[in-house]
Amino acid sequence: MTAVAARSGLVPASFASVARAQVTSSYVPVTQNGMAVHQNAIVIDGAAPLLPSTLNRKHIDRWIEGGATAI
Amino acid sequence: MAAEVIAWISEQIETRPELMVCRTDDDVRTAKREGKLGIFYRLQGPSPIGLDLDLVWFYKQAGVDLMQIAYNTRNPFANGATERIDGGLRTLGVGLVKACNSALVIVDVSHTGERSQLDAIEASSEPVIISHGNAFERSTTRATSLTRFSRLLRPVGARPGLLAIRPLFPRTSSPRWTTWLA
Repeated sequence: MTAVAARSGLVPASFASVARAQVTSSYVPVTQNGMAVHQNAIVIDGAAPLLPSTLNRKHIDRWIEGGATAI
Repeated sequence: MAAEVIAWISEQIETRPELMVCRTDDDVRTAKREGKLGIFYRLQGPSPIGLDLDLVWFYKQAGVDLMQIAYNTRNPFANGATERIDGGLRTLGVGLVKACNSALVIVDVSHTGERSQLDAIEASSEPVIISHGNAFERSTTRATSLTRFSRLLRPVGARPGLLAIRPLFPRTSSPRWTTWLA
């Protein structure tokens, strides 16, 4: 699916490559409960989450549900 | 468009008690303590002010405390990180840095070309930050690369913010944070 998407030009090649790498990744999460980490830490997500194309109340809800402290 | 975005977010904050504006570190602690989601206003590039440096004051009063001086491409103020030629801060860019200093808007040189980053440090009377970036040698894109800038930070004990968006990690490895600590 990823390769097809890359060939179609619908997604940037770099993103398709990332998805392919994730399939074969041997990464093991440090914790199985990321939400617990967020409960104890101050989490600031500065990755431009409220760009004009995402002016949607539900998108703000995602950060609340994810336990972010500030965005 | 930036004004419209700020207006929309402001409406959300005013009408949703679970949200609050964050302008200081104490605000962040308050958000944590009260279980709210804090929101920072910042500009990821100077295009909202056009060529009018006075508008820095307008956005400051609207809640913007941080402004990037470029976003990847060359603009009337500075060079972006992905430009072919590493140009320095332009004359209007020096004015922008000083306007930000006057209005107490933090100058952020993320996504900015290296020469412009260094020029901004020299022109600024206040600390300049790079809020997000990656070590050039480890990065898959120049858009957020850190080079000499991070080395300049070390002697004064400052630290750059690292960016963890998945497409920026090397594709052939399982990345960890130590991957980025060049």
